[in-house]
Amino acid sequence: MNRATLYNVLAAFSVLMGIPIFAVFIAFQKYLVQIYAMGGVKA
Amino acid sequence: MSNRYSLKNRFVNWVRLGISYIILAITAAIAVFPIYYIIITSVNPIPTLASITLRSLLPENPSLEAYYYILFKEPFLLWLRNSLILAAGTVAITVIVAFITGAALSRFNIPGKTMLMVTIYVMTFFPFAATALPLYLMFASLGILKHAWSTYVGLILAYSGGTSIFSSYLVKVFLDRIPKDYEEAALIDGLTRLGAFFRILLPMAKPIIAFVALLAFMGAYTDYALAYAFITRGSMWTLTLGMYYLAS
Repeated sequence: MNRATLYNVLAAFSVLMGIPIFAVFIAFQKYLVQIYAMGGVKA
Repeated sequence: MSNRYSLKNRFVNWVRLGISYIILAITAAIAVFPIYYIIITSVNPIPTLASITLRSLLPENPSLEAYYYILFKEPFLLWLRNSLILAAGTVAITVIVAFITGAALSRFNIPGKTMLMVTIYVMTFFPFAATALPLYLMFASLGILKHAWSTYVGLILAYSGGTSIFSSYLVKVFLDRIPKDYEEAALIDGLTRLGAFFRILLPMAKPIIAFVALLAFMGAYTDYALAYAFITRGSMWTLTLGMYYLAS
């Protein structure tokens, strides 16, 4: 591959990098939904 | 007469529902499209951006070449491990600090509490990346940046400091809405003050703790500025540094 910006590689990187965040969200989903059900976090 | 009225009422309801669905569908499409675009770009066999025409929205000959390149030609898994170490440490410290601070601010009468709350709230608006230079000087003079593991300890402490400020505030606000009566009942039944905190209040605060953990994870996982400032060796790179390396 040449050294021009490899957009498909970057895109694949983004997709792979998003997986852990997605996993954490799924793991905590049960509790996070409770927060939204309570009417959000009022600051 | 009442029949006609209800028929009309029903029709109005249908129209309302239809309009809501149309608006929601448009919003969802706007939110989802960038992610979809990234995915179709990633399976593009040629290293260019996928062109946005109606025909190219379904990739013609998708290939996993880019994924292969990242997973086997670049140390992606090493970067992932480094990022996850930092994120896990940050989550652990942030959750503990935020819960203890939030519980104290919510339940105790501390002198100067209003001032403390205002300070915490104002600190929230302070740009986190601006602390990179002072933190660097501080850590360098403490000798923290000499070893790989101590650099990570330093980074975890820096991230935790950044995320636990706002998180403490969130926990405090959440705990304010839980009545004190639960803990008082626990105290009457023989729990200590500390026991009431950890065995009564902690389980009830689970939702906000999950939220705080998610915030801390994303803060540490997606950070670039501090990692760029502190990490010198290539074997210690995190995902964000690796991504920047691949992009240039």
